[in-house]
Amino acid sequence: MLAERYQRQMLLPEIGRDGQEKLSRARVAVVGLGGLGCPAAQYLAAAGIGTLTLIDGDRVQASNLPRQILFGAEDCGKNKAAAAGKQLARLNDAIDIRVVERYLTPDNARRLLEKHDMVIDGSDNFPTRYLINDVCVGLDMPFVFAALDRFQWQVMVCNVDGGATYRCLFPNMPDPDTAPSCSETGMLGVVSGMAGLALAHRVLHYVLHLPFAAGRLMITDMLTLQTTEMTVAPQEKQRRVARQNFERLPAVSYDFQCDRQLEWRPQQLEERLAHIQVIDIRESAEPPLPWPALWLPVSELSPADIPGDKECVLVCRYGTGSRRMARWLRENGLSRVYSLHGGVHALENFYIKTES
Amino acid sequence: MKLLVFGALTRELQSGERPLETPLDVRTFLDELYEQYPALKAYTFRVAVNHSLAGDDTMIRPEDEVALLPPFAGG
Repeated sequence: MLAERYQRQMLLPEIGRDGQEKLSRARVAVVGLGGLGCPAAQYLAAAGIGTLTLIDGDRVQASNLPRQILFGAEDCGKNKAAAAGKQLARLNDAIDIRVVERYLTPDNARRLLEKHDMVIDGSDNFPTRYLINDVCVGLDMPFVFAALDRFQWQVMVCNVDGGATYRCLFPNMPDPDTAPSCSETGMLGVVSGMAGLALAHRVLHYVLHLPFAAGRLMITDMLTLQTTEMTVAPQEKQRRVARQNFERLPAVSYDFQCDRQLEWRPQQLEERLAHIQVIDIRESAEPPLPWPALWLPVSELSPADIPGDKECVLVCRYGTGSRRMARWLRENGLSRVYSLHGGVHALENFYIKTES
Repeated sequence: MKLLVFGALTRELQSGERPLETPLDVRTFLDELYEQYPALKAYTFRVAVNHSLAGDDTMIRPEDEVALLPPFAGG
């Protein structure tokens, strides 16, 4: 059955029986089972990658379905890693699929990523991207990232034999306000799908010792149908920063800088809970917040909806949209509006930490 | 010189040919660009000259291709 299943790819002289054995011995961690991680994991499972670790704390929403193609309507509300794992096991029951229903955090990153041959960064936020970078440099493990902006996608294999890393490309975490997410700008499934396949392609080629363009940033524009490549030289200083962060884990913050005039941390919110109004501005109020909250989706939000008689805290997924919105509401005369720093993502980490 | 603009930066300026009489370094090029497009100052991006990441002192010549590369966040 196995020989028959993989017969077409084994027929390629570059792969053969040896290559297929390499694939079956390979262990790959996929961080983020969204528009990038779904197609990447699907093709890696189908090609016979021996061990796939799927890591995601997020839940499936209907608006994910056109691009996160491992999920069906019946998966809405379920954890993405769990739903993806179930579908991949149907696709290929001869491989080992491990499901981690958690976000990658400074507390768990080392434990979850070690003992793999390569990591796929299919995340949709910079804190996770810099965390993966630093842990992979610390573990001496290659990783490949892809990221999206409307019709454009970029991909690069990092940290191969001391080679270029994400920090060599962008040393400092960018201001989230200038790099919008898919939920803000929109996304067509085929664009994230091609980026996801590029991720799977780089992993397969790395495992098979075929060319995988380490340290070359490739940017493809699906509107102009042009691809541009840049060579990124390894920067010893940036590799050192990553290693130092890795050694200090979990005592390293990957948060965006908190604007104290505008943002509260989860603990501050908890302390004032009795006197404030929490406003959930996510398009879908799932998973529900742990406090009573007013649901005002950002697309319909207007200053007139905001209660003026008490302090209000806006909550979104990562704390970027809510920060922008809080700033805008203040410009429109509502001086007592705040944003939850880090959004629901930080909250989940906050609760995991306080529970344990 | 040929200027290529990517990602969120395309909301501020477009790719295309830009007149360049004499060679100049990346630092001077960016100063001029910021003067023309002040909103760019809010963005994180790197400059690549002829498909290699460039530093402030890298020289740009009239026949060169210059790319402005912001990080992408979507996933």
